[in-house]
Amino acid sequence: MRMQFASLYELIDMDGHGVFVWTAVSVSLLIFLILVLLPILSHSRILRNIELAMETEARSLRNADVKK
Amino acid sequence: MIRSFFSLKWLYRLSSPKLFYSISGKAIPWLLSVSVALLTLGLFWGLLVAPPDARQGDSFRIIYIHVPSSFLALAGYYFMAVAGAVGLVWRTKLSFWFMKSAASIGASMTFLALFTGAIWGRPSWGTYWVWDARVTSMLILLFLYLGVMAMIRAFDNKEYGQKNGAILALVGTVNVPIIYKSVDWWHTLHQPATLKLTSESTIHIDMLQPLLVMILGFYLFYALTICLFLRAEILYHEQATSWVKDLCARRQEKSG
Repeated sequence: MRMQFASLYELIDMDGHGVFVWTAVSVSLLIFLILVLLPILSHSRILRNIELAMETEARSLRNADVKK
Repeated sequence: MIRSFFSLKWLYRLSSPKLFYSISGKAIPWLLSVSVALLTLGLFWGLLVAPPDARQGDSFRIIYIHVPSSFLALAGYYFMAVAGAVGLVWRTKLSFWFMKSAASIGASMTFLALFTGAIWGRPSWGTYWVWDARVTSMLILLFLYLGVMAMIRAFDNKEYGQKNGAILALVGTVNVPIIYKSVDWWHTLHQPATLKLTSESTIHIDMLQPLLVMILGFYLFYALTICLFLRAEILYHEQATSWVKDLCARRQEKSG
């Protein structure tokens, strides 16, 4: 494999096309990141909600036992 | 073995939310590492190593995102519509949740294809946007995706929304072959297909290899995001079931 660009500046500039290429790449990476993070965050939020509901249920059951 | 594969019983069993949840949980680390590795390799290869295009210079390197995202935008539409049809016919809950996940991911891929196309258009066509057959039909695809997403969420009765979304998805499939053929049927600015199954591709092997790596990487990334979105859907819809409660109880025990 041989590199097409001799220096970092050439790689960033890409004969004046760099601004187009690197914008396309960075927006894609951003969208990919969102596509991974969004479901992971909602998954853990749902898990937390279920666990909270279970704790509340368990506590109210315990309280009911004490009253008896 | 082969007969049981074709009897589709395995597929039917996989449509059990609980089974899919546990299998996808094991698949996610693999899908993540392999797709990230392929995408990194493909980008490195395509952006740094592949030779520049004789006419377009270095701006052609956008192809390594534009073509794979367009592939997934179109293939993802079929995945979504087929899932919707399966849900309508066999009433499997998981198919509708798959359809909902595929709609969000497909809309993102279509946006990405349009966005990278616009950016590529500037240096090669002299404009970000044209109302050309390929570009316009792709924009319609984005609206169809957004329409399906909105339809699923538009009704208080969730089942009603899912069925309507599936019907819209199925009707919209007519647009997909139009997008494929638009570059042949109309005189467009958009160049004809680079990769063809039936005849030789119009791209040099040194440019083709990284493109194939990127396409494979995009497919695996798509599978990864489908698993991630579907697991959240499954957990949300199945939260009242005993297996989800068991799962949460085990988690609580672990964390103390």
